[in-house]
Amino acid sequence: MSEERDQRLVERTLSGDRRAFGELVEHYQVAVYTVAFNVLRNEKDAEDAAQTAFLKAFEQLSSFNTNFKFFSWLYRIAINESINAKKKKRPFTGVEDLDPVASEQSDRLAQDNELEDRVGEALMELTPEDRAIILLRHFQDFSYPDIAYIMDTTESKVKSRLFTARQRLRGIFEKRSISLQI
Amino acid sequence: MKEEIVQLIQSEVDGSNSIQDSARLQQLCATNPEIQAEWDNMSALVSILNRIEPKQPSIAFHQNVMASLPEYPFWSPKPVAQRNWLAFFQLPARPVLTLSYGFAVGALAVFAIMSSISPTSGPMPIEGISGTMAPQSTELFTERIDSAEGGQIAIQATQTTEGIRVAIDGDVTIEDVITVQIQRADQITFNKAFSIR
Repeated sequence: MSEERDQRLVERTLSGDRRAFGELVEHYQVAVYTVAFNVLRNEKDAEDAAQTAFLKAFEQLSSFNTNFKFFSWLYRIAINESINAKKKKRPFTGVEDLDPVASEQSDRLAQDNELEDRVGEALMELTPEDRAIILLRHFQDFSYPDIAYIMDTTESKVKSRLFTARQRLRGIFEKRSISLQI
Repeated sequence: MKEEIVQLIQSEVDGSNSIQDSARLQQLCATNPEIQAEWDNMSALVSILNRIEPKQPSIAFHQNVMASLPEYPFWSPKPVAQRNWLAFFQLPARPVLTLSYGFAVGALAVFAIMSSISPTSGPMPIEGISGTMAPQSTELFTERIDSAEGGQIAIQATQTTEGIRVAIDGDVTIEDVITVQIQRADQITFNKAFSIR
């Protein structure tokens, strides 16, 4: 969906057309939910956070600065909502929360799912903010300036935090014996 | 490893290095096994992270979101329960509505003027009327009666594109008002209580 299309849908929503906002939800629900899930690692919590993010976006739509991309603005709300929800929850306590030893499934799909689960669990050892930066960069392929806007920080801090987060993640991978060779 | 080299690798995996920086990193990797190993590890990590799959919310998610939206966000105009009529003139100037207000006021003024000068605003004097006086117009429906009481008289009511036209034709003087009752557009009856002398 183009930025122009988003802009038209935002304008239609502001003029009272709720169906236009429904189209925005339809388009971004998977992306918003994915980010929320990867921050929270819980389906129900992620759905609650994603729903709240859309609700806040709707309520605050008149304050949306059209100089920015709508999806960046939406992600900013979704990331904040997910991080806040995570901070209210019990923090990650360590290895005992992890799934049992991986099964020996041979097909690639199962291996991919297993790897994704393990990576997801490793991500949980990062702070919610660092996790969000990793997700924005690698899942959504956001640029440094976009991430800076979403995370309400500077571009240089994004680079610095991304670097730190990756280094931490490598250490976590080594600790958990997650092979980087795929 | 130097911070500068690490940053160079980070920028390379993010695709933000210049062509010169990329070439420099390539050269460093070719000459330094430690840098090559660091590059391999970082690119492998990024490769894994890039494989994060999108997650599907529940089927009801979209419906739940739409159902949770308030009916009137604060930016939406809410219906006004009651407004003093003077408030009409106190409204801030809105470009879109200004023309409508002006048109409405103008239409009311024209209506008032036309009503005050209308020749049919009072009882029409009918003494001495004879013959057919109605103007020519397109006839849609016609009802006619004939009476021979005290003389020949014919009354014809016609629904035209301009309204109802009543024509009286006779060789008598009419003293009383003839009432025309319209039941439906195509059904006209007359009160025949008129006297002829």
